[in-house]
Amino acid sequence: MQPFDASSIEHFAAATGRPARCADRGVAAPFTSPQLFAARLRLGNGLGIEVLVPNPAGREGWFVLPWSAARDALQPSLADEALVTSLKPLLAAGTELQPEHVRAAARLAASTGLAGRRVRHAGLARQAAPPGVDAMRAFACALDVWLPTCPIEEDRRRAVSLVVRVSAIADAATLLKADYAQRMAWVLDGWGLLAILWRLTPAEARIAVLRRCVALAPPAAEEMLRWPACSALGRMPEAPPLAPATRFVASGTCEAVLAEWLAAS
Amino acid sequence: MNPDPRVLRELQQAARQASSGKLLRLANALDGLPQRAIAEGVLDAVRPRLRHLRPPRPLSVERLLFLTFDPLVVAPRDWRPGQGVIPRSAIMPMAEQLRAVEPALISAIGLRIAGAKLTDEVLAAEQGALLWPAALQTLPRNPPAGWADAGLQPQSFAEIARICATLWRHGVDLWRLRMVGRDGPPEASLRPTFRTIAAEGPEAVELCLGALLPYAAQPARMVAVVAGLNQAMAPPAERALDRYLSGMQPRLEGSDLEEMAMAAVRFALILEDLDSAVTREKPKRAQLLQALRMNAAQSCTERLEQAMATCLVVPLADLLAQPEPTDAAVESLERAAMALRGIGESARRLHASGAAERLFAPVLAQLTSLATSLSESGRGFLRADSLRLLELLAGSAVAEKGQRTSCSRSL
Repeated sequence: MQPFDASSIEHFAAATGRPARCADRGVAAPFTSPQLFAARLRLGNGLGIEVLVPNPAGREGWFVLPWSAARDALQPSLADEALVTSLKPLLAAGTELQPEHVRAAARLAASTGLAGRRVRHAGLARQAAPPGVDAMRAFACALDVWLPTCPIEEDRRRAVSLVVRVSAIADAATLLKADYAQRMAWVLDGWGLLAILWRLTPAEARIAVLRRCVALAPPAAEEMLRWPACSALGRMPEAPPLAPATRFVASGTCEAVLAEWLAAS
Repeated sequence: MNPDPRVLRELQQAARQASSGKLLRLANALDGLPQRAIAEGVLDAVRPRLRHLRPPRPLSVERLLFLTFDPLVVAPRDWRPGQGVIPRSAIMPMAEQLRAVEPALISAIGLRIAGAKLTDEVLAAEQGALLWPAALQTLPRNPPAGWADAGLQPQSFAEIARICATLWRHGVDLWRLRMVGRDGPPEASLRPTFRTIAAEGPEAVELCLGALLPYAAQPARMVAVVAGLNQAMAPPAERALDRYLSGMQPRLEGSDLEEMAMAAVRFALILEDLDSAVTREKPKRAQLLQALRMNAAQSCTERLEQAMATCLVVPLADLLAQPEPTDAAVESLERAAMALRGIGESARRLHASGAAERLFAPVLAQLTSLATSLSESGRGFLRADSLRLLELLAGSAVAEKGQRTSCSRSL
């Protein structure tokens, strides 16, 4: 793979601040190319697909690229292309993306075998629910256990911030579960991928993955904060800014996360 | 007690001739020996190979004691005074001395780390934080018992003790910096730590950097940060970098294919970082880096020549001949493809001779052709499998081209 050149996307618009609606925030996609892993997809103004990726300079905000530009700059894999192709009929009809759409498209793309046989089996297996409240509690707990061993103060603060956010997500999802399944899916969206990524990460790679998780953590939309039990999602502790060129997740790991994410229940 | 030199030479010779499997078993057996002198003597002869084979070495009190400065520990025959290094033969008498004055602590640490491996960095940090300050406090003024038996001169003790004192004093911080150094220079931690170290003088700065640089993802950047703290820091920091450069070796031969790919990628990145250390005042560094680059690129190309057939072409032919290749066999081939690509890209980054491209070309052509001829479904090796291999070997743009060709032919 060619080394990623951050300057190739820096001229695109940056989305800073809190997105107004969940649809503006976009849905996290289980991409398998390192630069796109857990990037978010949304319907653009021109009805094309837009992809939101964390600012590669480590600063706050997300770059918004039309998919056609992301193909040149971010080197999507064939499996990533298959996922986006599966979504095109929906978007052509002007349907705003929901987490369940991306999950269905990911399953379809997985069944092509382009992300490997393990992912194909997961795509063809009986449908399972995405990672839910239990996965979030386990994620928060695992971060909490790792925290005292983290050798860098700044990363400890990042981990603390992440624990608070993941715990708030779990609390909100618990209360939404019974009556608001779709809202719960939005609240949890993207976090399941990060929870699996953390679980699969060996001890020596935890710091790099923690930083990537912080960069990829989906922001809460304004719309969410008005939902019952979700106001706490707007009062999250600040994490120290990230350095540029935070290490990406390797494509083999992205595929392993995708396989687990499809098989989660 | 020193081993009989003739016996030691024979054992070293046998270790050198052992196959990889036997060497791993030998290292495991030697790690269990209480008498370290002979074990370390035999292992000295095969350390470069062991570095590639990476046997899971147990974490012992002796290893933990010198863990933060292992790059500064050398074989006894390579030790010279005034070089800022420690002979491996000093480890046992120093450790025994500490065991004698702190029996309870050493026993407790021994119990806590029993069965653990050197790779358990968190446990090493936790127990090192107890061990290193204790070693510093109980450092004797005179050579400990066993010093002469280890073949060490009494007059060498003061220098070795001074090096140990510096590195134990900063052991906790050095270990922390080493753990995070592989993610780039941890500037926020690096600056305050080296300000403290600098108060001890230039020798301490040079020693501590010498212990850290072999583990840093960006050694030149690390040196630049330290040298930039104040004018007095620059000379020892630059000396540490020169010493690190002079001892640098790609060491890419002989390891497992995937490990070699990782090592080659890492080495190419380190050399890119070290390019920034080449200045008009340091012209020799450019020559040294160029020699390292050529040497590493050649190792990569030689490995590609040898592994392309054995790890990719032949196993691919086997899979194509099987009516139902297993997932494990396909995944094993994919891992080999990924490793070969890593080695190929490193070869290109190190020295763009076009040799890697020439080696990849036939197999890429074969896979492109397979993408049009293989079935889309069934139990055999499928079109998606070949496209995926193409992507792993040459990237998504090439694979996409192959996919388009296969689609247009199937229409």
